[in-house]
Amino acid sequence: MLAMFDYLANPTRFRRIAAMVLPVAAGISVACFGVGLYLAFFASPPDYLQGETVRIMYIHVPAAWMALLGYLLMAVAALFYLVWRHPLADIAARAMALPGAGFALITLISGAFWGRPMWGAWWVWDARLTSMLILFLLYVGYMLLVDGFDRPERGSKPAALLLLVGVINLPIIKFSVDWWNTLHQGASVLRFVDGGFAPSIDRSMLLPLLVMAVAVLGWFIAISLVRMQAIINRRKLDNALLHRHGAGQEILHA
Amino acid sequence: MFFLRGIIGIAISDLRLVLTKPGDVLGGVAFFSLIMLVLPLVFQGALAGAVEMLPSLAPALLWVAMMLAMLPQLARLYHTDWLTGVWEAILTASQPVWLIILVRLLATSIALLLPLLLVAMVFAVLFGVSLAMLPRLALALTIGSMCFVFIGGMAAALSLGARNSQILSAIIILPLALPVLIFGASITSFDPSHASPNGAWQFLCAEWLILLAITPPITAAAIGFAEE
Repeated sequence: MLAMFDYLANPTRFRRIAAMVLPVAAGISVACFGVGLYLAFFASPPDYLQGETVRIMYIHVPAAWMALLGYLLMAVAALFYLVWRHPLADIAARAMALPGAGFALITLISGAFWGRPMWGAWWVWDARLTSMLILFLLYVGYMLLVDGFDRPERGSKPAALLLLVGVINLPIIKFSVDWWNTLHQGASVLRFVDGGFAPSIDRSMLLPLLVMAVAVLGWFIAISLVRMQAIINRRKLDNALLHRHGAGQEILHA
Repeated sequence: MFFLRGIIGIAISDLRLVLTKPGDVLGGVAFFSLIMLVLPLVFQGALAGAVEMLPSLAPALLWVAMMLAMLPQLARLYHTDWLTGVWEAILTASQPVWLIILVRLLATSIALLLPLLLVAMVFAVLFGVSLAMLPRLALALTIGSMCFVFIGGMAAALSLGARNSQILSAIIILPLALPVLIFGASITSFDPSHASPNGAWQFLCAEWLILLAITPPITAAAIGFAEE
C-alpha cells in the first residue's frame, strides 16, 4: 500500500496512470450502469411486500455504500497527507469530497421517496437516516473548512485533521442514534446465518444491486480522477499567474 | 513542581480574564434564558396541552438551550488569543502544548458552565421538574457541557483564521455533539420504553473520556497549523 502510494506520488507518473485508469473506470461504469439499470427496472421481480417501489433500492443502497466508502477513502488520504505530507493525498481528499457528498444527498433524497410510500413519511428520526444526514453534514463541514481560508493551501491540514476526527466519531454517532429504536429495515445484503454470512435477498435482486454498486464505484473513481487533474491544473495556473503578477509588482516597486 | 505551577498559573489567569469581562458570561446566560422562555411560548401556540407536558419536556429543552447558548462563545474561543499572539507564546513554552490546552479547556468549562448550570437549575424548578430528578439532571448537564467545551475548543482551533470561522465552527461542532445530546437527554428521559438510564450514563461518561483524551492533542495540532 505504502509502496504503491510512493509510486503514485510522482505527479507526472500520476498523470500517466490516471490517463490509463480513467477510461477503464469510466467504461466499466457506463457498461455497468447500462446493464444494472436494465436489470433493476425491467429484469428483476417486484418485492413481495414492497412491490415496485423496491426498485429505488438499486439507486439508494449503492449510493449509501459509496457515500460511506468515499468518506473512509478521504480519511485514508488525510492520514497519508498528515503523516507523509504529500500534496497529492490532499488533492485526492479534496477531489473526492463533492462526489461523496453528492452520493450522501442522493441516498437521503431517494430514501425520502422510498420512505413516503413505505412508512407514510418523507423523513423520520430513524437511526440510519440520522447518521446519513450527519455523514452529509460532515462532508459539508470538510468542504467549507478546506476552502474556508484566503490562502487555498492553508485549509488542507485542518481539514485533513477534521476528516480523521470525523472517522473516529462516525461509529460513535452511528451507535448513539442506534440507541433509539430503529424503523429502518435491517441490513439484508449480508446477514449472519448459521455461523456464516449469507446473502438474505434473492439472487435476482442481488445481481442488479451489485452491478449498480460497481457502476457507482467506477463513476466515483473516474470523476475523482478528473477532479484531481482539474485541481492540479488550477494550481499550476494560479502559480503561473501569481508568478507573473509578483514579478510585475517587483518592477512597480523598484 | 515548577512544571505544574506554570500551567496552573495559566488556568488562573484564564479564569481572572473571564471575571474582568463578565459581560461575555452574562450574555450567554441571557441568551440561555431567552431560549428557555421562547421555546415553551412557541410550543404553547403550536399545540394544545404543551404546558402540561412542560415538566417532561424541560430536560430536553435545557439540553438544547445549553448547547445553543454555548455555541457562539465556543466558536470564538481562541480568536482573541490568536490575534494577540498568546498561542505563539504558548507554542514556545516548555510544557507540552496539549497539557496547557487541557488545563485551559477545564478553566473554560468552569467559567462558562457554572453560571449556565445555576440558571438551568432555576428553569428546571420553574418548569416543574421533580426535585428528585435535579441532581441527576445537573450532573448530566455538567458532563455533557464539558463535552461541548472539548468539541468547541477543537472546532475553534481547526477554523482559526478562516474567513467565516464562527459559522464554520458551529457546523463542525453540531454533528460531533449529537451523541452527547442523545445520551444526555436519555438520562433524564421519562419514557420507560427507552433504554435504561444506566446505560446512557455509561455512554455519556465514555464519550466524555474519549473527548478528554483526543481533543487536546488535536486542538494543539490545529493551533500549530494556524501558527505555521
